[in-house]
Amino acid sequence: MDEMTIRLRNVEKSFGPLQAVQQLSLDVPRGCLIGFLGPNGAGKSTTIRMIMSIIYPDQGSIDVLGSTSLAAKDRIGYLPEERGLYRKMRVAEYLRYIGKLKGMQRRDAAAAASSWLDRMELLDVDRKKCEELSKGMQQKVQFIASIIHDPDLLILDEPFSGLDPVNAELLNGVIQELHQQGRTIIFSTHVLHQAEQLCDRILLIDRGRKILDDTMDGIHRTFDPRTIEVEPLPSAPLPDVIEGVSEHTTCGESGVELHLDQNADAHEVMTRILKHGPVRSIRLRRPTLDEIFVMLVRDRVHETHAEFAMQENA
Amino acid sequence: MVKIPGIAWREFKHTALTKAFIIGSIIVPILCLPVFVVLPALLQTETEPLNGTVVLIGPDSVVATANDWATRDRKSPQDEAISNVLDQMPEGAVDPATRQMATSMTGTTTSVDITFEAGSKDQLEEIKTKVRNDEFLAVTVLEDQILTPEPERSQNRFQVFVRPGLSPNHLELVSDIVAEAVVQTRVATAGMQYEKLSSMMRSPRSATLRLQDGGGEAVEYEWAKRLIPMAFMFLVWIATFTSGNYLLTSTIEEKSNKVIEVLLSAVSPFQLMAGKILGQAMVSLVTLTMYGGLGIAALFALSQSDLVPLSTMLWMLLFFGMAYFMIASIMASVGSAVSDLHDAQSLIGPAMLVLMLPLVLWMPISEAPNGMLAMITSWIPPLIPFIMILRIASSGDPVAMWQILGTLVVGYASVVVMIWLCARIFRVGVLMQGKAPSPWQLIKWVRYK
Repeated sequence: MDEMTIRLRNVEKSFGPLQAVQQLSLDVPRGCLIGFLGPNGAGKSTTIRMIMSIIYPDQGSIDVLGSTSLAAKDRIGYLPEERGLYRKMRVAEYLRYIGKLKGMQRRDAAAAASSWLDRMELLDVDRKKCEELSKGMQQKVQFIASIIHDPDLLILDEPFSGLDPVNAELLNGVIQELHQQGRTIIFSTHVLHQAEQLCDRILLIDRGRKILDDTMDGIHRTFDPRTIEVEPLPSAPLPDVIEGVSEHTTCGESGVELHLDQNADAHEVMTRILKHGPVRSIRLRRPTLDEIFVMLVRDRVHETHAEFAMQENA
Repeated sequence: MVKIPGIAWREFKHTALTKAFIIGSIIVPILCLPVFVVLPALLQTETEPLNGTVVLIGPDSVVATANDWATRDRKSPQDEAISNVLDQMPEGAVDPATRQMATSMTGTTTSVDITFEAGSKDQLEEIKTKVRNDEFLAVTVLEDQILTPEPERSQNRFQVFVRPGLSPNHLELVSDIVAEAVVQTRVATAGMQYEKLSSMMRSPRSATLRLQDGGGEAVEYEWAKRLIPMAFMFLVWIATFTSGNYLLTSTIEEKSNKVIEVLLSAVSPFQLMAGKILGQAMVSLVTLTMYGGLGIAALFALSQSDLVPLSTMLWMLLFFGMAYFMIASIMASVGSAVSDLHDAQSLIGPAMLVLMLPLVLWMPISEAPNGMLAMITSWIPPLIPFIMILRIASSGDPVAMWQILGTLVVGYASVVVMIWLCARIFRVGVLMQGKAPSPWQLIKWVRYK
């Protein structure tokens, strides 16, 4: 049995002169909850649409759930970023319709719709027209439509947008539950701290190219913490020069951020500080996903500018 | 492919099972049916009788003639000819409905009971007041030299003053009687006999009877022969364009509702388009059946059902399918390419100009269904179904079978090409947002992988 739910090999897609996806290869392991990140226009939606066989790559191959993406369509749940409902359709009828399009029997679709409406705390809305629901309720109906057929692979594009904190927590719980049941989930968002909390793997693309693909642990290892936050006591200020520290910056009223040299060992530097005198607090700060994202994307911009300048000079 | 019926059913249900459609396409034709069934009886109903006195200011001889002529039976020569033919037909040769219909359509049945009184110009204002007070029906004032044997234009006229509310039919009757009385008086003054002269001047009229296929004869109505081909073509045109418009708006709605991407996660763009087209095909068939059925019921009521043989209806169904799939695929692709109706109109405009041609050409083609114009336009793909329906439904020389079969082959081949092209546009268009594409961009979309 293939351990990979999704396998992309050298996938390319262009729209006229725009190269939306370039040489993208990717393996998504079975049962993984992967965060699919990237700045606007990075090629995320195009990649997702190719995985969903809504559009097709110009080159390369895509395997989904051990077959072509088209053949696996009924085993995939998809909540697109640009989503909506039939305004005049009743909620239960809409969910049954989507369930039937996903290959369910009418009776099974009706039962699943009813059960999920209860689970998502949408009571007594089944006979209501979709246009009568609030935005948050519509969002939950759209989510149900993506999972009603019990998919093996779930692709969620900005699932939390438009939800209040209570409903976001409810949805978060359902996503975690589906993950624990062994479903593979691709989670695309711009809210990176959500991805950091939920996902066990991150894929970052920019301008159609993959720039990061690793587990959260691997990312933490790769992006080694290079900053120590210290709050010294007024009676024991920090020395001006500390071995292994390249730069000091103030942080808050009395805190100091110490940026480490490239080769310095963080634990050794912390020991050195504590030997110098007592401090109110000291901690090693890991880079957040936001910082990693900004750093990687900014580096890509610089690289592109450098490449462009070299081409110009040549 | 098993998903296509589900999409088709939703499309049908959300178009045809709505109040507006049920009223417009089902209830209205059903309500119209009794009107056609009782139409012959309605046509036979007499109009309001014309009673009263008309004051005539002019020569006394004209007054006397007008009084005499007002009491006569006045039928047009053509009506009289039809009546005579019907009277001479052996019992049972013409079915009762046809006889009733023909009788009801020949001439007015207004009963006239008016008298003409002589008046003088001095009393004109006083008489006008009496006309206003309903004491008189009207007052007519003849020109002084109106009886001159060769009157000039200014002498050959009269004025009629009527009370408000006199019906156009009654006014026409009064004017006709006075005009006829003037002519008869002129003829008598010249020493001739009006009756004889009138009989000699009357040109013979034809009354056409069509020999029906199953035996029996029916009065031939030229208007029916002209209108039936146009009605057939117009019915197909309306049925296809109504559903085409539903298809256009529902596709735009799915795009603007952003539900399209959810659908495309379950079905391919081609399945979606095929389901929508088939769903609206059912809607179109309901419209065609209801209004077509109404028309056929009307023909039965008028005993003219043999004007539309079963074979014509079968050919019409085949050409209807061709017209529908051609229009529907265009509408679906345009709907997929734009974000609102305004943009859609600008894209459909040029296609509509071509598709309006059959409406302009119906008269020359139904007059000469095998003429050069008909022959050429029959082979132009977007026009094929409409022109062929016109030709087949027109009476006269039947259209050659090789032409019917040939145009069917060419037409359906064009439908296949059209659906393929439109499906290519549809799969790209449904995912596009923003500015409407230019025709050149549509061609580029066709070539996308």
